Amino acid sequence: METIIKLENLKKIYGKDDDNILVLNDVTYNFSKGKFYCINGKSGSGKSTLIQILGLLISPTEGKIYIDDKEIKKITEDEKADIRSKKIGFIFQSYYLNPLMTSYENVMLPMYLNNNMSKEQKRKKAYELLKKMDLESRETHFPKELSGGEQQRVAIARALVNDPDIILADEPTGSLDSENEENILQILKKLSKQGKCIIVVSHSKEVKKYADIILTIKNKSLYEESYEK
Amino acid sequence: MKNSVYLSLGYLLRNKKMFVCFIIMGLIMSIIIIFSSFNSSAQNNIKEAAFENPLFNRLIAVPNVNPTNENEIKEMKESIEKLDNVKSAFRNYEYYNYLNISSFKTKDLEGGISLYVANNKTLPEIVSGHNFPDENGNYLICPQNFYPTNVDFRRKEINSSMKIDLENKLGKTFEYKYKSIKNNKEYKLNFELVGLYKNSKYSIDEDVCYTTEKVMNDLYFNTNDNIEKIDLSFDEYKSFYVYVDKYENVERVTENLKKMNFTVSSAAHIDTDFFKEIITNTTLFVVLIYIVTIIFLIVILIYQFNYDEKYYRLLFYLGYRKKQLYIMYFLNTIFKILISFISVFIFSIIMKFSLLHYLKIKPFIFYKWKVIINYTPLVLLFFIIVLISVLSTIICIKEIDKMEGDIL
Repeated sequence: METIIKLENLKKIYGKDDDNILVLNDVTYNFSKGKFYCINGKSGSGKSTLIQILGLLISPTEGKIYIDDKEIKKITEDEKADIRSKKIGFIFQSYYLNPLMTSYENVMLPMYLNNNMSKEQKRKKAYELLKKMDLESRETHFPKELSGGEQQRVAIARALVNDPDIILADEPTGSLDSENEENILQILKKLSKQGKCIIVVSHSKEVKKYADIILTIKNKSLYEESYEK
Repeated sequence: MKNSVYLSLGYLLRNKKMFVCFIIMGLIMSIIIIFSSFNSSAQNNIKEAAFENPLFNRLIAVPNVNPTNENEIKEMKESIEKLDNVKSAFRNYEYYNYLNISSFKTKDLEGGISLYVANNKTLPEIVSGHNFPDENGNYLICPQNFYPTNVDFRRKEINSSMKIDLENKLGKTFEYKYKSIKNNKEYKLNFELVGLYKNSKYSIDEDVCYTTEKVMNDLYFNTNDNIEKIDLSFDEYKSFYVYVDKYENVERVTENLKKMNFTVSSAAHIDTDFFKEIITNTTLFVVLIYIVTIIFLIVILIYQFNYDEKYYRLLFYLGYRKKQLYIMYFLNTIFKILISFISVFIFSIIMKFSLLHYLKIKPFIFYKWKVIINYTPLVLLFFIIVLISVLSTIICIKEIDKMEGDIL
C-alpha cells in the first residue's frame, strides 16, 4: 500500500519552560492509502493532538511529518492551507455545518477555493456527492431541518468535495444512534476501499469493527493494537 | 475576492440575529437624528425667533421728565440714536397702524395689513426688489409669503392656495383710502411696493408690511385731524420705540437709556432660558444615546466575534488561508456598517420629506419653525462605529492569526 502520511519521531509538548506538558513522544508511523484506521486511547491521551498534527492544524515540537513525501516543516502556512484544502477532509463529532447555509451550500463551501473547476463543474460535483449520500431531496434544507445522521452525511460530502486522499474524523459517530452510526461507518469503509486513507479517532466498538488497523495511544506513543499484543 | 464578497454578504444577510442588530442600530441612529435635529431646529428657531426677530430687539423708552416742546423731543430722539448699538428710534404714535387695502382683498382674505414704521437701517433683509429708495417716499415692503389677514386668528381656515404672490406686483402702486375722524374727509395714499422680505427668517407674521416715517406720520395726523393741540405729556407723543442692533445688546441699551432718565420696557419678551433648558436636555439625551450605542456596539461585536469565530475556524479547517479569513471578516464588518447606514440614511430622507410635506399642510404653513435634519451626529457616530469595527477586526485578525487546531 502507498504511504500517504509518514510520521517520524514526533514529539508534542504544550507550554513553555518548566510549565510544560508532554503529550506525544516518539511517534513514528506510516499511514497508507486505502486503509481505515481507528485511533483510540484514554481521555487526555493525545488523540486529538495527533489528529490536529495530522490535519496540519498544529505543528509538532519535534520530529517530521511527510504528506505525499513532502516535508511539512519546510512549507509555509499558505501551503499548509492548500494541503488542507486539497488533500485532507475533516469530519467532526458535532458536524459543524454552517447553520445559515443549505446542505448544498455547505458542501460547496470548500470548493470556493478551487479555481481549477468551472462553476458548473462545482455544482455538478456537489449534487453528485449529495446524491451518493442519499441526500438529493435535502439539498435545499438547512442543517436544523436535517436529522443528526443526515447532517453528518452532509459533513462527509463536504469533506469529500475536493476529492482528498485523507479523511480525518474525530468521533464522527459520537452523536448518532446505532442505525446512523452503522450507516456512516459503511460510507467511510467504502471510501477506504476506494483508496482513501481514513483516520478515525473513536472509542466506539463499532468503529473498531470496521477499521482495518486499530491504533492506540499509550504512554504518549502510538501503537498498532496487534503489534501491542 | 468575488467568493469572499459572496460568502461575507451571504453570511451576513442570512443571519437573522444580525438583522435584529441592524434594526436596533437603525433605531438608535434614528433617535440620534431625531433628537439632534430637534436640537438644531430649536437652536435655529430660537435664533430666528428671539435674536433675529426685530420685535424682541425693541424697547419702549418713556422720558421721566415731560418734554415741553417738539424740539426737546427731537433732541431726545437724536441722543437716543447716538447711543451705541441703537439702530434707530421712532415716535410711539408713528410705530404701528392696521390698514385694509382693497387691492389686497380676495374672496378669502380681507386685505388687512399690519403696517410698521421702518427706515433702511431697521428693515429686514430684502430678498426681492430693494429697500426704500427714499426715506421720505410712499413705499411699502411686504413679506414674500403674504397673507393680508390676521393670521393669528385664522390659522386653521387658511391654506397655501390663498397666498398672494407679490413677486409680480413689485414696482406697482396700491391705493389706500381713509377718512379723518373729525370731518370724514377722505384721504388717498398711494404706496409703491418696492421690496419683499422673508418673514419666516425672522419669525414675523405674514401680514406685516413696512413703510416710511413720512407715511406713518401722514396716516396718523390725517386720521386724527381733530387734535387741536398735542399734549406732550401723553406717552403716545413723548415715548419712543428704540431699535437695538442685536438681542444680546438689549440689556446694555436699556441701562444706558435708564441713565438718560428714561423708563424702559421691552416691546416683547421671550423666555430664552426655557429654550436653552430644552436644548441642554436634548443634548444630554443625545450624549446618553451615544454612550448606549457604544456599549451596544461593543456587546454586539463581542457576541459576533464569539459567534463568528466558529465559522472562521471551520473555514480555516477547510483550507481557507488566513489572509482570506481577514478579508472576509473585514468585508463582513464593512457590509454591516454599510447596511446600517444605508437603512438609516433612507429612513432619514423619508423622515425629512414626510416632515417637510407635513409642514406644508395647513395650519403648519404659518409655523415658521424650520425642520433641520442634523446629520453631524450621524457622521460622528459613523466614525465611532468604524473605529470600533476596525478595533474589533484587529482583535479578530489577531485571534485568526493565533488560530490553530483546537477541535471544533
